[in-house]
Amino acid sequence: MSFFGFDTALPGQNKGSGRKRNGAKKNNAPMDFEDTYQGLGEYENEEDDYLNAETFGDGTELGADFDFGYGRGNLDANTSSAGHVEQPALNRSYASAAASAGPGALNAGYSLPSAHTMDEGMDFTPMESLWTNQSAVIPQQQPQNPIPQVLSMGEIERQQFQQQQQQQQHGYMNMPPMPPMGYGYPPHAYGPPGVNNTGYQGLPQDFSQSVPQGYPQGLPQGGPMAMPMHMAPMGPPQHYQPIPVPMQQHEQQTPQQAHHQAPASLPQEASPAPVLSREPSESPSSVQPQEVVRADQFSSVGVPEQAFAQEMRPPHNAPGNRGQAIIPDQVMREIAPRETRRGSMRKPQEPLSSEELKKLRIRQAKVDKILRHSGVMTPRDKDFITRYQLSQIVTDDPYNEDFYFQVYKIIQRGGIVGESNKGLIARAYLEHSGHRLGGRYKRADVALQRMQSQVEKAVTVAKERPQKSRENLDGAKEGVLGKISSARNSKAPRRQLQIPLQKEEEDEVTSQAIEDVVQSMNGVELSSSKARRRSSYAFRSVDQRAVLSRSGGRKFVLSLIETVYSEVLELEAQLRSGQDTDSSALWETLHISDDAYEVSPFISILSFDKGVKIMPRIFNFLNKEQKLKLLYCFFSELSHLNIIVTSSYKTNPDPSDSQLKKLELFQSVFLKIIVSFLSSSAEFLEVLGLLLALVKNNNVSFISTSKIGLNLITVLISRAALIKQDVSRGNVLSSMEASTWNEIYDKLFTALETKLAVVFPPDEYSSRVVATSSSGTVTSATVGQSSKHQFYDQSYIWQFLASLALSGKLNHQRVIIDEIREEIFGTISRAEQLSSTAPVEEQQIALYQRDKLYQDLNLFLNVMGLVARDGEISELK
Amino acid sequence: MSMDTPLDLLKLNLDEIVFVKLRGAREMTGTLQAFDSHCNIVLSNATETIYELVDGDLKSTTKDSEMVFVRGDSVTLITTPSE
Amino acid sequence: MSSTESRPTASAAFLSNIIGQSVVVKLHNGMLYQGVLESIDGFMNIALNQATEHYETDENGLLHRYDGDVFVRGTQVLYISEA
Repeated sequence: MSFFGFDTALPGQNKGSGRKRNGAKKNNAPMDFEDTYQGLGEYENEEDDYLNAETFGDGTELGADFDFGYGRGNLDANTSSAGHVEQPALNRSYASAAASAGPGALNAGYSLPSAHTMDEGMDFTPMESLWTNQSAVIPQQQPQNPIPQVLSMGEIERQQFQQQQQQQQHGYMNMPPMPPMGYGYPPHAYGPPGVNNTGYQGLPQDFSQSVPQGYPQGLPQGGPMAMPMHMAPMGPPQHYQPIPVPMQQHEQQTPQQAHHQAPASLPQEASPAPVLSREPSESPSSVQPQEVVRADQFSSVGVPEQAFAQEMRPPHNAPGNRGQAIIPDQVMREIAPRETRRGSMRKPQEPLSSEELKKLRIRQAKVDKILRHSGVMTPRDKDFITRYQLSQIVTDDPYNEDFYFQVYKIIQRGGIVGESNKGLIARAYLEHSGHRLGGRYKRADVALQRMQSQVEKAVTVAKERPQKSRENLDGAKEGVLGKISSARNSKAPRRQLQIPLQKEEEDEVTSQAIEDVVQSMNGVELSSSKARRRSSYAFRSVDQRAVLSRSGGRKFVLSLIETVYSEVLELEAQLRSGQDTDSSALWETLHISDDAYEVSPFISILSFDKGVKIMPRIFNFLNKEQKLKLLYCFFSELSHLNIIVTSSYKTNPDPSDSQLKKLELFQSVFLKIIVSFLSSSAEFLEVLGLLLALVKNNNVSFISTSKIGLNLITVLISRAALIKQDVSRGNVLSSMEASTWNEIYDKLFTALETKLAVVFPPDEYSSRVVATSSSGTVTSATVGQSSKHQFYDQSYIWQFLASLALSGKLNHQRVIIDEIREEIFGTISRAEQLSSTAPVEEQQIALYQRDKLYQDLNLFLNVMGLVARDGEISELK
Repeated sequence: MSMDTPLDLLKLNLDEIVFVKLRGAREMTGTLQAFDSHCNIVLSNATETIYELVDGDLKSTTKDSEMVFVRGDSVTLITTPSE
Repeated sequence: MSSTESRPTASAAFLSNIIGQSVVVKLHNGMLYQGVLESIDGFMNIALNQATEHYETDENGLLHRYDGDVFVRGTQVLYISEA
């Protein structure tokens, strides 16, 4: 409030007087904005708010060079007094001072003409001697231009504080040092209007004189610290503030006198001041001019606010009161305290020499000037300033949060500095100060929160800077420290470029492509699946690359396998850690029920050894339904299976060692899985379903030319037969099951009929396989103890024929025998030949081979109650 | 797929037979067992072919290894053998 | 990671833009490969599809045709350009 020169006086009082009172507040009651702000908005008499005009200009004069506490004299005074007296003063609390200083104390007043003269002199003289002598620090600061208003505000605050102390001192010269001052002092400054008025009006002069003492005291070490003050208007900083202010004031005064009318007028009006000064005390309702004068006087008075306000307000009249008539007595009084303090002892006033007095007066005059502004700012004011300074630093909304701008806006809007403007300004202040009586923010804590958040923001920003630099440092380290980079290189080669991967684009493309495929599939789903089946009858599957391309391409299948491996590893890890496993991702990867491809990718996965090898581990994570689906898919597209193609003597008459190895791998891994699944979990109908899938969708004749294919058929038939036998022993097969079985068997038999002989590979093929495997590492396809005597193992063929015959009826068996009669006798003759032609030393081997041939043959013949022995076939007995 | 790096693509050839060109007119064919980012590779059942010019004629000799580690330095190219 | 890795440079942009294009890759040993750029990484490892092999220039005749993907080791790459 004081900042704006609001009248803190009660409404009832005169306008003029209202502003000036505010003596020391006697009550320690916490300062409340309400008290100070009372009715400001409603106040009609704002014209008197000279401070406003001075502070913000009348629209044209608005500038950044506000000087709330001008008067270089202050500086001098400060400096001079600095270093000596001050400390004690600081320690005094306003509260105590106020309490102690009654109206009477204030009444001590006496502003004298002489003081004015002194003042004048002081004003004109730079007083450089004073501060130059005092401290080196001060001179340095002199050159500076007017210090930001903030400082002056702080200074003012200081002054106020000092003044109050002065009051105390004045009133109670002998008073013991006051307890350390807290923030309790503000209340005094804003003390209830009534109190202020009373105490104060009478005593303006008195205060003015006392001021010097108090003031200087406050400023002791201030000098050096002065500069920092800007940022730290808060309590602690205050101590320092005093010094900078004085300097400012000094400097400003001269140059700015034109600008600041008050200062300019000082010299001239100095003389009248005395008179005026008295008036105010006597007649609160005096005319403005008088008031002005009074104000001046008050400025010197202990009441900081008023002093300040007055200074600011009386642009024109600002009388030279500051000079304050310093009466010798007063001087004495004032000085005395100081002196005593210097001595660190409080000695009652002692007579001083005339020289001393002179000096003291001079100082006093200067101090007075300084003190005019002391107490102008309350802690809240300072808080406020801190806040908006801070907010200006970190705000996102510079205009909205800039108090100066807000005020400026108001002034601009108003055009003329008038009451209404003042009200607006006051409101702006309140809004920004967050006072509960204020505008939009209503509660101070809101503003506080905002400030806190802003501080946090500022801190964050500050924190980020070092982090950045630290990062840079790390980066530098990487570059600089060979070890790091070399360590990296040991792990991976140095990457020279970061090539952006156009993932998104790619994804779009793929998804687009998939969509297209899906769309086309929707239209012709049935036919396409038919096409797939049909194509399986063709021998296109001979070309492995073609098969792969029909299932998405080699690379696609390979990547599927990689995915499958990672999925399986993941699942196994989950299994180890006792987690529940979810094989849905793995299932998706297998593309079992994916009709998007002509050949199921799963079939192509089995084309690669690594795809076959992973199968047992895949099966660990599939449920029965999934396994059935998988096998159904497998048997349906058996013709496309790479291993069928490579193991068929028709499509691959000259198998390589690696192909034989593949065959062996497939048998030992995947066939094993199938057998185990069928024998452990598959129901009769499920087996039939798989067999049906095989028969319906494949060229059974072709598949039967392959060892693997034949094996697969054998497995299915034999399993079905086994189940049937079990069932027939126990429960009876349902008629549906029986008829289904008969139907499927008929289909299978029909597909094989007339081509049963093709299950026997030609001798060339057998011998090649023998040759290849004897030079290689494959053993499953041949029988023999030494490579020299190995021969093609036909047992798988006889097993097939046996199971086929076993499940068939008599007519089926007859057909089979008819078709393979040659093979039967061929085998018998070969067995007989072995024993007859073999050299003596190899008789053992020959005998073994002969037995093996008969054994395999009889497996089949036994089904029909026959047995081959010693070159003849007889009925099994 | 196509966003895979070359090494990702190479990974697809694991457990497959690969053809490797080496510096110094050498080639190696074998089953890719392992590789790293330096192109150090491990081949099983590998056959090394060394080409030499003898009196203007190109001659080649081969060497089989059940398992071989090829240092990445000398690798220039890896592909699947065309059959 | 150096800053160059996180910031695509013009050269990196070029390399990523020619993926899928027909390119020519020259190795330090003078071998020239022409094919469709399957992928490329920051180590200049390159994967080509349908690659043909020539010495120095494709006018010198076809030395080899690779059906599968060809992996070219980055350290051996002299340059890569659009064909």
